[in-house]
Amino acid sequence: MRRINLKDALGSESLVGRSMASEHFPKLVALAFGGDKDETIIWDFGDVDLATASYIGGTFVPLIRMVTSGKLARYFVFANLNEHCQDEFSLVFEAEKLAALCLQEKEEGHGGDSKIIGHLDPAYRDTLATVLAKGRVSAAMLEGGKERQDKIKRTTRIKRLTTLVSQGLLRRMKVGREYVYEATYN
Amino acid sequence: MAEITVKRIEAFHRVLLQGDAAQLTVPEQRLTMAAAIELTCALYQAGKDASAIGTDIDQGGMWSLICTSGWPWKENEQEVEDANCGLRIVPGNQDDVGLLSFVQRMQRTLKASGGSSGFSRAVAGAFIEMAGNIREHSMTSKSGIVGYEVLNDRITCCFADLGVGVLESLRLNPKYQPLQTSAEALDEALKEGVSRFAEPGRGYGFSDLLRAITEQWGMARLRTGQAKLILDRTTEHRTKTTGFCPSLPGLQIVFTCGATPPSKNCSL
Repeated sequence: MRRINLKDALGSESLVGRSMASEHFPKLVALAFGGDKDETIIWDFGDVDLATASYIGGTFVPLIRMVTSGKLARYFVFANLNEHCQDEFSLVFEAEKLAALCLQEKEEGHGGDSKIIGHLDPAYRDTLATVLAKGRVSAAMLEGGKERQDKIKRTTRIKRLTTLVSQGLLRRMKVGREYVYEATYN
Repeated sequence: MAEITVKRIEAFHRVLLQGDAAQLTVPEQRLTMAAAIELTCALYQAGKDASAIGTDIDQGGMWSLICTSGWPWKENEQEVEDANCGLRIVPGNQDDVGLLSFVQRMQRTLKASGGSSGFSRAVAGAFIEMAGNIREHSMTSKSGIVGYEVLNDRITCCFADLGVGVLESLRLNPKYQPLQTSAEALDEALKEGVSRFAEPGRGYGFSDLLRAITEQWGMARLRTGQAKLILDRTTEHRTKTTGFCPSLPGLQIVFTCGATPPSKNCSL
């Protein structure tokens, strides 16, 4: 897991406008590609005062599309967004049909509330919430939970989990003969 | 002091197009920011300068700043500031490195007048987005202007360019080629994800403006080609009014907002 403090990395607490986005995008790509494959990157907005929709559209939208297309093997978590920044992210991600995990930490690296921002169907949102609550699950383990009562087929559950993996919202690993899914951050 | 609002300038513009001039000289009156922008663009379009309307209306505020700056005839980067207002020339097709510091000064003025940091942040976001749009979308080497004025706990901001306008800009995207009028184009441009660029992640420039006026008891007037659009969020009854005026080049936006509802009827 790697934390990137955006104010320190970009030298600005205001992330605004398309021209700044064009200037910062190569830096953000370099930062994202640095480090290890499949690692989780926490983009820390704690010291960022302002991030506008067009800035997000020119930076984090293409970055997330690189993740979802498989060109960038990283997981993203957006941490400590203030209300204004969170609204802007939600607006852009809803329109672009993207989703991301957003974390509000109590102190750096310790505890806090997580939520999904952007566009995610309620069924997928529920599945993700279940995995985040349990920490680590397999499709078989979900059968004992709420989804069993909903009489959802195992193939449907697997499809949902796989889709969440392809969106970079869950991590998947093979344990024995089955896949296990877990949150992208501890 | 009595104010000349933009409605009066719209009427004057029609007179100006008929070849008459010097009809606007009204002593002891002050132009609102929207009126100052509309008048400047109308004079530019008619090929006249400020002397065509007499000098008695020059009573400070944005009109005074525009006259001082010389826009739109001067094209060099320039800033002028008064106690509660500022104006910046945005150069055509160049990087605008000074914009952030200009906005920081605006935020300081806003805070000094009692604005909260959340309010100041919302205004700054909208301001930078709108200013950035001039350089990115006006598609002209002519300069644009951005300005602000803090008055009676409210801030009013303006953004004006003399470029191709919203209709021509949007029609560069094949998806929006069927658009026929500036009014249609303006309406479309305010939607999220609508841009002259077809690539994803574009078309969010107006969202900050709409958010600022919606959440901060605001009002905005957008003007391009023959179209004008007024969004009024100063009361619980939110309205959107469209209308037609004499044609102007480019796009001109004026918005006003405050942390609390305006104490009297708001006009631009």
